[in-house]
Amino acid sequence: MYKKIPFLGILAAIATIIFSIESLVPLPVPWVRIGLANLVTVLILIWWGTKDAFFVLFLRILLGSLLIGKFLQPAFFLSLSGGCGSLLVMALILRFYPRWIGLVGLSVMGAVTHNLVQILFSFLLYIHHVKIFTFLPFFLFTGLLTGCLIGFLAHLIDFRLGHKITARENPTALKEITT
Amino acid sequence: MKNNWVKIGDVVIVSVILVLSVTLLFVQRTNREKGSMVLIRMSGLDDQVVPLEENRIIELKSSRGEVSIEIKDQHACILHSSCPHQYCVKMGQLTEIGEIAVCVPNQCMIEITGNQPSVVDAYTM
Repeated sequence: MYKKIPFLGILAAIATIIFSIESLVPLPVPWVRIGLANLVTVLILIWWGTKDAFFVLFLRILLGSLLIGKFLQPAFFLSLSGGCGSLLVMALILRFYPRWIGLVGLSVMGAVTHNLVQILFSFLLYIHHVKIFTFLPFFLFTGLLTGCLIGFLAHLIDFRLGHKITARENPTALKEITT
Repeated sequence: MKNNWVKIGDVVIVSVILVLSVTLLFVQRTNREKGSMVLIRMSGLDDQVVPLEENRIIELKSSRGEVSIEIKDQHACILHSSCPHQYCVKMGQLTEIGEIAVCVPNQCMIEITGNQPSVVDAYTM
């Protein structure tokens, strides 16, 4: 069991770095990112809850966009709206988390909501043409893929580190005792 | 602990979204229909709606530049434009409802529409 605040600081720094570096990596398809920074948000959400996740999300978007020089540009508002929307949905379905849905479902819902909210906001703020919703199925599908990837990675990290960081019981240790 | 990290809700969420995206894609692919009118808008000029049956060439001239639009054999295209990049000309022939060609420097846009004119003609916030 460690102290929470230093951990939030370290994780916010990690998320900022991931966010900044990821925006520099080119992908063959425009407007598609893996969203690795969402990994940090998901982990904080399941370890410490909604409030801290929102705190780190705002910090990450603010610092990251300052770092890559996109502060107050369209991309900044789109990341902000997408991030808030996806975290809101993930926080709403968090109550089903360990019992009914796992990390994959959580992060898929987050990724898909992120994409939908971004399309909606780019329609409302910038593009104003209904044609933009042509991209909807495409972004649903990419959200599904990246969400599965992030969910799997988050599971790996949580499986190895989660019991050390939070006061939760160590699942592997428990298994060793019982068998 | 090894195999039960994928819960039942995960499977439901993933399959619902997969089905939803495939269905939406399919609906989009099958819903294309041939248009019957072309809407021509240019900054500084009145909007025109011209049926695609008429074979004609429309010359538009505003303070920003000149655009000529050809309507022929149920399609419309921008033939010439005074803009530097000629993206609007490269859009080629437009036949299906919703297809557009936009010339940004000349502030000109042509869009294929159906029989009913679009209900919404402006958005405000």
